[in-house]
Amino acid sequence: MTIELDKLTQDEAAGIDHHDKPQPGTWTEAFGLGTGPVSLKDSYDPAFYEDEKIAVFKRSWLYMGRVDQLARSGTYFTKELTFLGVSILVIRGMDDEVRAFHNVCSHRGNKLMWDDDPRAETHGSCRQLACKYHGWRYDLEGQISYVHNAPEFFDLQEEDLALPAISCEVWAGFIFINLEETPRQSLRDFIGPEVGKLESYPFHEMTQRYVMDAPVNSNWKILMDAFQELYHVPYVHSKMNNPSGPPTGTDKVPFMMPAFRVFGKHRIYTSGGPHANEAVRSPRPLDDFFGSSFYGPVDAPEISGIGDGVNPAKVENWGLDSWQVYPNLDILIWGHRNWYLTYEYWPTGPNTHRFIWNIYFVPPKNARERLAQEQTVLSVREFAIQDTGAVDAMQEALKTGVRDEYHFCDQEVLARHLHECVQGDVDDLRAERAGAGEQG
Amino acid sequence: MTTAHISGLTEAEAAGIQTFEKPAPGSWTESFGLKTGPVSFRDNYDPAFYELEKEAVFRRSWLYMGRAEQLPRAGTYFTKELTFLGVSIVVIRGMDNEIRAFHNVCSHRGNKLMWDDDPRAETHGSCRQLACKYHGWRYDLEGQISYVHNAPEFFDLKEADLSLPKVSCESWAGFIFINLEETPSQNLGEFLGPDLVKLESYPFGQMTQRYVIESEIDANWKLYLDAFQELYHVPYVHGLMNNPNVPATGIDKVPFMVPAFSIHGKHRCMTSGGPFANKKVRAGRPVDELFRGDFFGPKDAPDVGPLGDGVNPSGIDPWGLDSWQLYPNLVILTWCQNWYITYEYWPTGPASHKFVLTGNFPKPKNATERLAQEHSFVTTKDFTMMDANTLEATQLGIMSEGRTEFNLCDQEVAIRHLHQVVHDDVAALLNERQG
Amino acid sequence: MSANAMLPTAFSDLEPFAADWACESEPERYDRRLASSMDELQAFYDAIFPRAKAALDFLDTKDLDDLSDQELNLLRMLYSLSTISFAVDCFKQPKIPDSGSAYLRVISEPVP
Repeated sequence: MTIELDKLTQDEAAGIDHHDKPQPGTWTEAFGLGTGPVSLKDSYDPAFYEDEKIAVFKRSWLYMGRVDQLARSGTYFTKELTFLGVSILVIRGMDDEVRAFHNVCSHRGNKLMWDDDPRAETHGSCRQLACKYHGWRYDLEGQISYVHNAPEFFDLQEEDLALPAISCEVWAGFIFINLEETPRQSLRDFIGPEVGKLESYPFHEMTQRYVMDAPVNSNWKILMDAFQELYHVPYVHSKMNNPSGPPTGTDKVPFMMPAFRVFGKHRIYTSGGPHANEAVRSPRPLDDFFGSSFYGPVDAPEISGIGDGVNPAKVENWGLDSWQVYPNLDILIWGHRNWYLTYEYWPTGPNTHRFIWNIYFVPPKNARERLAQEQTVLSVREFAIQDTGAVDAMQEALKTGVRDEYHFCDQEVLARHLHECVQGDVDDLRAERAGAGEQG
Repeated sequence: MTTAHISGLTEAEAAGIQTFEKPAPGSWTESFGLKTGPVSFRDNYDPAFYELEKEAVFRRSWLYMGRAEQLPRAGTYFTKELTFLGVSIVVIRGMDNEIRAFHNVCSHRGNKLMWDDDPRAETHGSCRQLACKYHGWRYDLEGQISYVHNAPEFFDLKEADLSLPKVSCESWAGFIFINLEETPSQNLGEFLGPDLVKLESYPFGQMTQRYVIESEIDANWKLYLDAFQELYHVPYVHGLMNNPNVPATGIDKVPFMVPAFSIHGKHRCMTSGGPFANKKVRAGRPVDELFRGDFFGPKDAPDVGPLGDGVNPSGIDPWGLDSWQLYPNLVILTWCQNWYITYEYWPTGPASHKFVLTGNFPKPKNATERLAQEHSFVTTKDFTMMDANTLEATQLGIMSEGRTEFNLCDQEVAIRHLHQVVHDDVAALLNERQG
Repeated sequence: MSANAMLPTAFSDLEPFAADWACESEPERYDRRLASSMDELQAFYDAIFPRAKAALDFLDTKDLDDLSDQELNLLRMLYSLSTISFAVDCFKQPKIPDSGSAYLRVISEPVP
């Protein structure tokens, strides 16, 4: 039984959804990417990790949270970017503007806003920002407003005591910061026009929120890769999709992606709706009972429209847009079921990261709607645990470094693109250093 | 409220504040010859600075090991692990009653000499000889070799070469110090200076009822020292302890002012009114009256005889406490209620240290005195916990480098002085190396 | 009165609290404080505070180095009162506010 490496087996061929590919015949080539093997050293090498922190995370716009988390003036939240050694304070001012600051008191450098554990994030509402150490206070725009026992100081200048401001911009209700002294691009330019059009989607109508926050034993890019291809679905998620079939060891019907797009450093896949790959998925009795599934509540709530940004490839059986905003934010918009979620992947080391998801629905009007949403969230979680388990094992093997060549198929084009963009940023940084005469 | 009150006091602050005169030319900072501009706190986290600091400060200063009372008779010893310097010291009282210090290393093949179950942990005890667990070599209490197992198998062993390597060791006021220099550039008395030497007359030796606390803190050693050498933080960090009915932060509070600071070479002292000070902003609690004790100590201070001529170097009246900051990392705090505290801050990394606190009282004569002491000690512990956690937040904030320049007020002069001295020592070392 | 009473007879009213609060060491007392609810702390405080002066007067007549087990337990209950007083008086919660994961370990204390 010779394996034919370029043909489908009979079992695979049965029931597969086919989709057209763009010129010159593959997505990978259409996006100008090479088709050869890929090194994944960028996903475990400590030296790469250190450069990536600067080249990618200190030079890109980074997602902090939604404007919905800052309902009115004086509301704030902190975001711990522990891997970069910074804590960010995001706050809505008296003028309703959203600003970001280093969460550091101007007196002796104490952390400004925190609860009981100085390493944990916090959120709340206040009239002034008060430091717990010596009582200094700042107004909601970060200006100094009270210095305890002020006459004891020498030559204090008010403007020197403002909280250190961080570039902060909002797009589509998503709050971003940039740690560069002067960002090389505005947020809008960074997002680009195609991703930018998503701002017409009514995210702000979906305020019923679930948050899940967990450490994962894989490099941040490895989990992101898992969520930007469907090639793994028949195997990793077989028990969820088809409980009575064997999980592995047999040929399975592949899941094919209707459409991919690349927009600068960002990318998107659009997959089929609930009726895609029907031949290989079996519904579950409780999905019927709750009236929802992994794809969301069947009785979709009314929203004001879907805008002109979604489904850029105009896929007929539109199920899902998964927008991967560089570097580490996914925005998933679930077709006509009218809900969305975000995934964030925050490095905590070369082999680990912090994975945060937020799932948003239109607020439910009754118990039935509430339960349908709950069922969706728990389904998503089951799938996600299957993926995080898989990448945990993958990271163990990857970091041995015994191979330097791995193979991405055309269905895995987005993973190839992510690694290429990251490598590109790191290469730029290294070139700058070499040019400046520093050690590379 | 958007105007910064950075020149005057607010009304709330002005009410009840206790102010004290400042020396010419108008601030403690300037009177000590220190500059008044903003400072960098890079020395609190920079790994390269940490390495230099280990050499320039800790390998060239007299370091506190423990109290003479820990060695009540000949043959008693204790070890001190200076892990950050990679050395273990054994301090032992000899047959002649002298206290000596040695590197805790066997002369044979370098095994650690005195240790219990865990070779990294400190130990203490009593012995007639020091015996190595590996090949049984023994040393007398003066560190001389006294037994070599199967000696004829060796070649040309010379007794004189087999003594335990000595470490310079001197005592002052019952506090035992060592110095890791080959030849200390100053003896202990010279290092301490005349004002501290005078403190020898304080009855430390009567206060043998002892509590010991240890902790591992995720902050540079100097940050904790800084917290305890100013009272600027007290209304905010300890707000709830001082006055439970008022919010801890977010409002203007009456400042605590220090009556007197004094500089003594590399060392410094903060003298305050203790229980007599800031009464308007402190509220006692029923248990304080019940147990006749509080943060300041037992209210009915036992008689310990004269306190000697070393206390209250600035001559304030009424006198509450002296907090002596002995360079580099020892604090001796003497309370008017006749007990004392020591604090030690031992680096374990650029952003971490081991903290040791001892509370020392005269032996209680009855249950009432015992409870007064217990309550004082436990109160001290709760206060200290409030400072400990804040430090970890401060370490994170400083390390973020969101800001790199910090303003110290005149009440924080002791902080400025400590960091200046450390910087000077490190600069001197760098100079030597370049020269 | 039970032969297994932990406290002297004159303080048998405090017996219900003895098992929890006559801890041998400071770390145990402090851990007990952290593991208790405010209701439990308040109940103990309310029971022992009115009797504390009498307990002190009683213990003052004894030699500290020669206490019976029951007298020692009573003494330790008073240590516990001291330990929990901060939670009840100042913080209104068992743990020190803003103390995060900071800890101070008492590794040596006088006995009794």
